[in-house]
Amino acid sequence: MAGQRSLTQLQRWMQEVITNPDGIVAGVESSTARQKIDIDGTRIEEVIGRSTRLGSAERLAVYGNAYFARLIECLGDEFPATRFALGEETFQTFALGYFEQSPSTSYSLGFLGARFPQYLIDGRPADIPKPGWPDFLIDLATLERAYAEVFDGLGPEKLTPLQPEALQAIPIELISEVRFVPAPSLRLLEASFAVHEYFTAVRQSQSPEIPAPQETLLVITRRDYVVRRGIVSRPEFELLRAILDGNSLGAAIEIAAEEQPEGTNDDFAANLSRWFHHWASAGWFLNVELPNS
Amino acid sequence: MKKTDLSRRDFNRLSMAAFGGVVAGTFAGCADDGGGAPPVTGSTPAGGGTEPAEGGEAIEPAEGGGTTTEGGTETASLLMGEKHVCRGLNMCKGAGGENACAGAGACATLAAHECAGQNECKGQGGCGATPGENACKGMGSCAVPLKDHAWGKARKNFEAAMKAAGKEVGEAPAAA
Repeated sequence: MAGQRSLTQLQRWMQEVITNPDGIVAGVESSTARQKIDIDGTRIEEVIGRSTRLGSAERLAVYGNAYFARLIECLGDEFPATRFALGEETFQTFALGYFEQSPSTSYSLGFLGARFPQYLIDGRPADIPKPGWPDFLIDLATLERAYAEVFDGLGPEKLTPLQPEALQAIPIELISEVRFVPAPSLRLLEASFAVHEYFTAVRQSQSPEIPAPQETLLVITRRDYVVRRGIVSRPEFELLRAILDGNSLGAAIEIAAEEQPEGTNDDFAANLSRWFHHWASAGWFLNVELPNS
Repeated sequence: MKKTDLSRRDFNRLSMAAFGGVVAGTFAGCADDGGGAPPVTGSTPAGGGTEPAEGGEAIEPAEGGGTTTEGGTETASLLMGEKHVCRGLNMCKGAGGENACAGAGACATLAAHECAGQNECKGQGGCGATPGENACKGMGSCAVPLKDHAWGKARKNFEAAMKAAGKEVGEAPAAA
């Protein structure tokens, strides 16, 4: 009987019951709940009594519904543009499916949406040609999660950017061997739609339509605690990606050079100088390393 | 161009160009901020065709977001331009710094969250001022919808939107 159970036991049982996405009875009958209090769905009243208006399961469902309503609301706060694109009801349906597949396991809501883009990728309808509207949703959710992670994560504000002295210490014959250490907030995102513009339009309380496909290469970073993004060209994107992947300067240049049209070496050299100037002045690098250093 | 198109001379020239750029950039960064704080952040325009201006002009956002122009190209600051946002759920609000949330790492927790809207369950921890009676039942945020086929719902929505926009259903929209 309830009086023989400890408060801790009851609390843990109730947590298992009300956080079960399949409902109260399913929660009561789950193995995890039965490890706390071993009853089936017909014996809930032995733990939680009826009220004058509601049965035991209904009383518990109040808390179960509230739990998921809060989570849906929080997920919607993290993915406002995805929510707008889907519509409230459809977004809630996606959210519930997501919570069923990836239950919240952290004390922090900062991790709640971490796997939501992958959930969308996993469920993408296979019969719709790419890039189609499912890819728009996936790109949009991926962008919103990236923004959240860059905002929440370690930023450059308290870190020292790459200093001239570190570069002056590099022997000239080893320049192509240099590896750049990027700032922790520097992220790249390749999308099939201009989802950054859609996001901005939603933030500005507009009602944007689904855009036509458009290759979109984004750099996302943070400065002064504000998340920022910029559009870059394919060679610039590939060069940054190669650097973020840990390639040396020389290897990264070779990779990016493949994206350059024939006979544009001079333009490429000028662009390299300009890009690296900008990236360094913007604080996108923290240091340089040499092999075996 | 292919890797094989790059002669050793080309390769050295490109490496020197990149390295020269980064050296100049670090000096520019130091000049920008007096040598201490991180320098300007931004991105070059597509194609890298124009030199980005040093320093951006921040434009106050209308709805929390922000916009920064650099080198004549808009590079919007996008998220949480307002301070102390943390999705409205933070426990770290007031923890100090320029922004109590950014960089604090997953500072939003359920513990500080309240019921949405104006319903009667605000502050009650669950729902219902009277035990067993849900004061916010049917008021939106406390009602959890039944699970359904999410992609099926989405498909209907998008098909309707595509039809309204005069686009063919079931096919990718034409490239811009």
